[in-house]
Amino acid sequence: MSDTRPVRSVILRFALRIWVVVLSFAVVQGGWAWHEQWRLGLVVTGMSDQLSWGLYIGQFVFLVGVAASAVVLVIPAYWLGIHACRSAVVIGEALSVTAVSMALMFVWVDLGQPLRVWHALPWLGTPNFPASIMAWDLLVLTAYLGVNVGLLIGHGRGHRKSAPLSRHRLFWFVVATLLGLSIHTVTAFLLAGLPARPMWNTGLLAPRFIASALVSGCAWLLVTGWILAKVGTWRMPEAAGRLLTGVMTGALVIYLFMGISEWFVLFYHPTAHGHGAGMLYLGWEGKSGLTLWMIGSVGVQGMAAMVLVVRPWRRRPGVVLGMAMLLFVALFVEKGVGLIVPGLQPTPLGEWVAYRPTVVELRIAAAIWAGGLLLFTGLLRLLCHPVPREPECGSASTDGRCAPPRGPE
Amino acid sequence: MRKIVWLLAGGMVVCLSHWGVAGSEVGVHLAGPTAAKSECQGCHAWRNPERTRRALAAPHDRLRMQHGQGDLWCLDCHRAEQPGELKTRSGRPLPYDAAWQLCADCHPVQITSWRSGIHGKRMESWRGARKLLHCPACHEAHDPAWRPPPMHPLPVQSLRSHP
Amino acid sequence: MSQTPETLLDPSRRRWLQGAGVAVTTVSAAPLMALADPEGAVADTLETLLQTHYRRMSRTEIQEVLHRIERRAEREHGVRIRCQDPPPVTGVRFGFAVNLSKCKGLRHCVTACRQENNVSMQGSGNVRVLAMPPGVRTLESGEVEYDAHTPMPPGSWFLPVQCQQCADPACVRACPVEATWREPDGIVVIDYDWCIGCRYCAAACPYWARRFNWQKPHLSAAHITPETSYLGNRPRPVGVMEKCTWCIQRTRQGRMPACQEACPSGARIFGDLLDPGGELRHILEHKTIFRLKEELHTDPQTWYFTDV
Repeated sequence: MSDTRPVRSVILRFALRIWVVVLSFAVVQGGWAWHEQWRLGLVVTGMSDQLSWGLYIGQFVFLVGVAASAVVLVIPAYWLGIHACRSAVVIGEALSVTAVSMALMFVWVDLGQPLRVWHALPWLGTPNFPASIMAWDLLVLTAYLGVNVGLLIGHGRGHRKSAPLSRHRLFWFVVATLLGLSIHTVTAFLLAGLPARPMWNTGLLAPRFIASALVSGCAWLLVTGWILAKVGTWRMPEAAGRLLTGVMTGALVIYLFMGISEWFVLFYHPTAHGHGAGMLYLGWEGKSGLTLWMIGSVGVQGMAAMVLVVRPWRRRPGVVLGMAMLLFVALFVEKGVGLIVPGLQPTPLGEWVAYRPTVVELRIAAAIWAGGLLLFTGLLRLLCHPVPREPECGSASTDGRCAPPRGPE
Repeated sequence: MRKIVWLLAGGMVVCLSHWGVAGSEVGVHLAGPTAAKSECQGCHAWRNPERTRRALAAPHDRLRMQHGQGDLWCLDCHRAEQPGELKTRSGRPLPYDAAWQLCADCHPVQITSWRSGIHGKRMESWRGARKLLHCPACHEAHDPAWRPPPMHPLPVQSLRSHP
Repeated sequence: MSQTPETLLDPSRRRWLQGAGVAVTTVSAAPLMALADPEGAVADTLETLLQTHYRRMSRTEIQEVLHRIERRAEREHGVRIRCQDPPPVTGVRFGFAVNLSKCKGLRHCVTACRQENNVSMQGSGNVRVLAMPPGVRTLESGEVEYDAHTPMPPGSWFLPVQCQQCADPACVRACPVEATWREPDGIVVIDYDWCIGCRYCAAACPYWARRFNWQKPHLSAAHITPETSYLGNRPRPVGVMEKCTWCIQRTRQGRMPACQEACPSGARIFGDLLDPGGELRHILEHKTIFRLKEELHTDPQTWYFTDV
């Protein structure tokens, strides 16, 4: 193995460079598309008065969920004392920073007057506290971003010095955890607080959001762990992997149960609540092009749940990885696309307008994703140091701490 | 019929430009045509009408009397002695610009509603003394059914905010 | 909501900061501007960008802003307008009532509104008239795309909908930057120069009464209404919300809203709810009324009634 190492590392370096170049290109082309949107207005998107939010806000909601789920590693690592997870926390932190940045970018590109964002700043502007949930959301998102950036910096240092966890840092972890829960809760409240939109106007929205966020967040972390292991720079502790799989499975089952409760209410005795959902899942009067996607998404979730609850299957890395990827895509479809558009349809005056994201919209969205992946890659490269083999970092290791890491290669 | 509508529309345009001022007792300013039809005045300014109730023949047949579905005729509302004036059912003489008092004889509900500003239309300002359209501004007395003007098409762009 | 004028006007530091921002920009850029920007277009744009919230501005600041708006209209749309800022009428709370027995769905209100309020040729317009099937009052069942030749079952009726000027508006609650609020005379307005264009209010409105400027408004110089107001029908910038203001530029000067004036059947009744002898009080006291989606508790100030 050791003789193949130099070759492998050259290949990896090259692959990384290509990856960065491709992502940078995606960012640049998106910048160009955004310039177009800036010059002509949001008319270049597929949105309209009848359907005033689309891809951007859908992606925002999905990404807030991903960001929130970073807490799944913090809780066990520092509260439940599963110390093996600590070395994986850094990925979670990196993920939250990335996802929150992307989410904020998606809100920003959705603004009609992007230069006026300062109006939302306290003091200089006029944030509508405490009435506007949007104002709350911006506040908690910014705070979560700040706390996680701080933790990440601290983590980088702490990890290098393998310093024990101070009370001070523990406090900030607690803050981050609470903020993580609150960003997604507040984002759900943002939609659930609108009686004008019956499909969103349900108390179950926030818990469903958290559950689905845990699924997609864990899925992302598992996939990242796998990629990093393949690349050979970092290996996720087995305990962390097991924990993520467990949380993903549990959250998925709960999510599906809440989904079933919602569908029951929606379809057993259909009311105005059911309009959007009916369109979404059943394609009422041919009003939705999303039906197949949505049914596919639900199918994948059901299938994944059935597979993952079987313990021997859940122990097989290949199965878990496959399910994680499928689930990520399924929830991306359900939340990133399927939540916003049907919630706005029909308009309160009964108008149905088709929505299809335009090329400009897709290009801008792609650019934000590319930018996020660039940031994530950069953070991992900065913060993830190879960890020695598994046994030293086992779940029930004697001293409860990982062995000191080796320096970067 | 079309002619009458046009006449009416023309009359409205003329009269909207200078308000009739009467009816201070209802606290409203009236607007709308307040003069008698000049067509009738052409002959009846010098010639007394015949007072027997009958179906109108030439030269009256140009007037299509639709009001009252055949139960009404000229002298139910016009004063025979003075064709330039109207009269209530009880016989009280009325000038043309107080026609609403005559209308009230048969249509009290509408008149009450009109005086409260519900029926008809308040003009110019929402404050101060009410300036209301006179009944004949919308209901031509001999053919009182209100005829809607043409419908405006839905502005093309208004379905989607952009193409 | 929480924005009493005091809280908005008060913090002097905030104002100082903003003043300083404007001053620094202006001073540092002044010599350059005179050369590069003889018409003052860039300066106007910058000043609009740094402009503060309408309710934080002094009368003199507002005067300046009004002149700037007039200049911009001429430069950007080639139209000469007069922009004013009539204050709320004291002791008056506006209300609206619609007589459904009278409405014949002629859409004169729709066109008059677009004309009066300088709605972009690409805009959706603020008034919708729905053709309703007989026996049904669910808004979602309405059909907006009818015309004179559309066959309609007997018993169909028409329902005009626009901003209901709720007393507890969901849109005002939603706005993250207080760019929209309810004025003392009951009209819900938008500061077009403060709105960030997030469209959360559009999602929050149960009556679909808010419109977005997806592009720079297309206004024809021939058809513009030159008498405008800051909170009303002045040409809007791209990327901000707009809505029905009951023609605030007219009604605050005693006139009727354009839709009321245009209605050929007299179905629209506009007035002062506080006037005991007024039309609206008469309707509330004598007619069987209903309001749209009253169950959402936004307390709409628009009532619907019929003759019988």
